[in-house]
Amino acid sequence: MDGLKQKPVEIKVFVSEDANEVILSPLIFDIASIEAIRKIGITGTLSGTLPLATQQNLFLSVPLKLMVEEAIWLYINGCAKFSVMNGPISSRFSELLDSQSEQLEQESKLRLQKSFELQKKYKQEQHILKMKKLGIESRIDKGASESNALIESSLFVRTSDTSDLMNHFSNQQISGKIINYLVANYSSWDNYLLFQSLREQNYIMSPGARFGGKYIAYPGDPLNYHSHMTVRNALDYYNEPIDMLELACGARLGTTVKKLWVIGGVKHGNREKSDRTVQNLLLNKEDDVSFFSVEWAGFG
Amino acid sequence: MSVDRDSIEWLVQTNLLHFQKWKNVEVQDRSLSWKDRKIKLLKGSPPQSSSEDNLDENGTIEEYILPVSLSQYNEQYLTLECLDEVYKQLCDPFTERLLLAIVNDDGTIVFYYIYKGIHGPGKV
Repeated sequence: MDGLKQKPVEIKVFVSEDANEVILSPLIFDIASIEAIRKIGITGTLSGTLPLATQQNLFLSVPLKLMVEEAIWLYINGCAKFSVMNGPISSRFSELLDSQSEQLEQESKLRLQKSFELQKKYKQEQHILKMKKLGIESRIDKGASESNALIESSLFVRTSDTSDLMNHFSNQQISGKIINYLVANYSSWDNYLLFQSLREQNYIMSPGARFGGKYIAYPGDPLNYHSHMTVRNALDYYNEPIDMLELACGARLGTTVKKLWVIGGVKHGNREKSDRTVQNLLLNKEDDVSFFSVEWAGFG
Repeated sequence: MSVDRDSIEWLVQTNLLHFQKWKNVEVQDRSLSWKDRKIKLLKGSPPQSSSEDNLDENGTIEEYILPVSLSQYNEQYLTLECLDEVYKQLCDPFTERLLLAIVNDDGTIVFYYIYKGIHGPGKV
């Protein structure tokens, strides 16, 4: 986590230009960042695919889609910064490609040339070393054309994970503002506080729709463990009654898949709803979360 | 102790004793006033020990039972705050779980365990 604090990962958020509304959930495009945040218990969901070859979710690639709560948790713990991409992205992409196509082509040609040169040089050196080891005097000048042709046919073209063009669209913005947009569009502060409390107890959350909840909570990395709990959307601690039919549904389904159905709410005390913003959250972590876990008794 | 035969406490007690074969099911004296209602718990022992959570020194299990009528939930009755108060005022301090008995108007009663806090699935 300390390493991440020194070099926060970049979370990209797509925002519509005029309304300043978030139009897509937060995304991470960089594989090293994805690896780094997984080590601190933020797994996200890989979502990248090709339109003509849609893949099962085991074969999906970057970008990594984060739950809003994951993005906020990373930001609040100093492990991430937000950068805004203004929509509409696809038309902007084609504009850029039209206007700068020559320059872009030149750039990529040069890059490929450079990569080939480096590879060739490396392979020739390796060849000479190998021959020396075998005690054969290298006659690279004699059979040069022959071995060059061999080397030529074994060069790699590297496909990069991240598009450089992305950098044309991002710009940094005040992160607090973005978080408020995200929460307004996708979640609530109470849900975030539940997430935070569970994360502090070392649970790893993923989206819970599969089992009819807000989150599914795993006791460790989802690749190593089955999940233990289905967590419901936050209830209003003081005023929202627990729906008994929903409880029966949630707990009965949960018990058949070896999970407990968890309900939780935040004791805000006398604090106004408008006070619950990032800034206050950073200043003051007093809000206390109360959880109950429900399972079917096995009879009746 | 005589019990009002219209009360859901009595329904749950009868169901547990005669249908689920529980033992020593009694309505507790302590009560909690909540939104014009009085909440009372029951206490009793299940027929066989399904877990070793609440074993006392005699090797028996005692569970607290919270009866709730299915029609009450939409009257701002059982909130998280209310559950916290039930644990605080009606249970022993070390009580880990309650048995929630949901009573429907057709005589159906369904039972769910409610654990305080985060609780993972036990060994199966």
